[in-house]
Amino acid sequence: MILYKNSTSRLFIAFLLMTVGITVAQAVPRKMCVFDLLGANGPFFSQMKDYKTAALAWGAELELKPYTSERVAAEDFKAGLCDAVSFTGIRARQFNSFTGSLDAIGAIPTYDHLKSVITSISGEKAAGLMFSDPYEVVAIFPAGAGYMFVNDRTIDTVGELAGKRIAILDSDPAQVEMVNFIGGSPVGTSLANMYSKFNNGSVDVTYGPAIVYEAMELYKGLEPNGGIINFSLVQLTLQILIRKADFPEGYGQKSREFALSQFDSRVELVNKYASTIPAKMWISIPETDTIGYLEVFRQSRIRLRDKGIYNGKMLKLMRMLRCKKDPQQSECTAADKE
Amino acid sequence: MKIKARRKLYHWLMWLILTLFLLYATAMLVINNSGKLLVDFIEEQAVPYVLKTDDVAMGCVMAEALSLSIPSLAQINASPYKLAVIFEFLSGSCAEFKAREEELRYIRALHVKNVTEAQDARILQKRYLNIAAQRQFKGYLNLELAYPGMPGNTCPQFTSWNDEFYWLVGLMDGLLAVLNDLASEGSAKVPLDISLKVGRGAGCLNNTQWWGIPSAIQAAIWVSFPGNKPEGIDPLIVLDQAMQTGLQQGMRIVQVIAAKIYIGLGDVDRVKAIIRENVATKNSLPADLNFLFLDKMATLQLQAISDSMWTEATGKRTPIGGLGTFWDDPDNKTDTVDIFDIL
Repeated sequence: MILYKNSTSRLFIAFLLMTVGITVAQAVPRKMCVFDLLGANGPFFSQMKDYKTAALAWGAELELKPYTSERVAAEDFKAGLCDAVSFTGIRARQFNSFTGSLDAIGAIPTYDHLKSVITSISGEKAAGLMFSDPYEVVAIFPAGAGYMFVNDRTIDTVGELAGKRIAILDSDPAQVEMVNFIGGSPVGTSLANMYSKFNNGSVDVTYGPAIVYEAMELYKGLEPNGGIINFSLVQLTLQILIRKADFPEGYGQKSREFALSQFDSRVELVNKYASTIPAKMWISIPETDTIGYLEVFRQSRIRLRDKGIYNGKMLKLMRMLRCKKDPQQSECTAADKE
Repeated sequence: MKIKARRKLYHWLMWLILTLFLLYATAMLVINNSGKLLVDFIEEQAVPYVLKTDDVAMGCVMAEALSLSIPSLAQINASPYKLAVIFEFLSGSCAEFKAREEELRYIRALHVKNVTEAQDARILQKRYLNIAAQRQFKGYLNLELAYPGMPGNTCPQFTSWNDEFYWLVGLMDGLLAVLNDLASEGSAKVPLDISLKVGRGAGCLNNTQWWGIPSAIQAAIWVSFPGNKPEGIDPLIVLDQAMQTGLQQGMRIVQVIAAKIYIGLGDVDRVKAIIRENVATKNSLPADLNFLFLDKMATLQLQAISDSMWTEATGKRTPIGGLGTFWDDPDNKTDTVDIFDIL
């Protein structure tokens, strides 16, 4: 009887300790490194304040720390200085090649396509693809389509990009590969000087989301004969990754569903900035040239997949969605499908 | 007889018309000049007078009440653009203060894990930031009306101290409009290139004469918008020098810009140091009596930053008399004896 009593007491104490332990574990605030060029004063950081509120309802208390360099944010996340991180999909590629391939060149032509892709991978069935031990991708937000800014409006076919000085971000091997593939002359840049090089004529072509047109005064580099090619080169995304073991069970799924629910309002915001670009700046590509662009981009993606830069599963998923929306595309019947 | 009466009537009619015309002309002269006189009076007398006072809250309410009617002075032949620059700046800061209160409510709600309250506070915070951005943007647009085509392109030929002052305030309007619009999800539609124009426009002013503020504005732009920083310049060193320039003249408004930059960079220790320095220099470097209003405004802005930090850590704002101290300051322990020694 005494033995029974003792073991009951022990069990009770152990249960109590476990409960206390769990409570304590949940109460520990988790550090989240947030990349925003404007730091804590920026729009992404502001979005993360709203995310932090939502996360509280899923049992995680986040402590936001601003980073103006996403390279440093990624390094600190890797080094364990933060339990979660928020940065661009390009930077996320090193942690999860599946979601890190969302920005594959020319793979997502519209926001409608992007929504379909994110919806497809935000469901519970895709949860496994979001996890790459020990990291989990818990949110994907649209950050705007990337467009090509050219200082000469006559550059409206892929062939005409050959020999042009094209700005590339040193941190993205896919861009180096792509520019080499089309015969351009890659000029290594960083976010700090990418647009000033375009404005001062050091490069002929640069790329970025619509917001940079006004924010970086790109109209200066576009004068007098330049323009913006009206073709979605990439779909930039903002992704949140966590160290899964540090967060409550089921956190990732709830977070991904939350991010999806924010999709439309984020696109609305992105479109607001795109609308600041005067209509005369856009360069429409003739249908025949669009086919040329699409094929070059497709070939590039395949090469980058074979080199291990893009994830094959993500490329296949995006191809399936493109073909579902427009089965007439030549790639849908191509022998070398992604 | 009839002709004589008619003549008399014409005579009086002519006098009446002449009198009415003179009255009208005089009235027009008065109206036309009164607009100019009124604007001159407010620019030359009222604004400098207000700058000598220290009731920021009252200045804010005054600006909120009058901002709407300031542009109407343009209808009586006056150029109220510079006035609008400062009135919109002040009324924008009123909305900013309200937004900060909502930020505190958001932090407090998170502190007690009340998600709904936190979400509600964020919504209201963004609404106030949107109002602030709209007002500050109007202020900046008035700067462009006062100096057509100049901000960011060329420097005006300033003819007086006043001109330079309104230029500086107009630039602040532009910078704050961009930042507050971004924080409220772009709902005020403030053009983003204003920030770079502001950075260049700040270079039109003498940094020492304007308490280090022009350099601090440039440092803020260089830190926030990479790609515009001149080669070989460290914005944070520029900022530090700007702060010293301001402090030496008893003008601490530059500390607010610096604190905001360091908040952006997540450097909490530096923000604490700036707030401590602000409090510590209050006596040793007294405020310029001609600009008490600006100094008080700086103190209130730093107090608001301190409140956010305190609330984040403790759930409550800066204690009364506690500006310049922080929750995690080491205790200055009082010497005691072990009570057991006497028992």
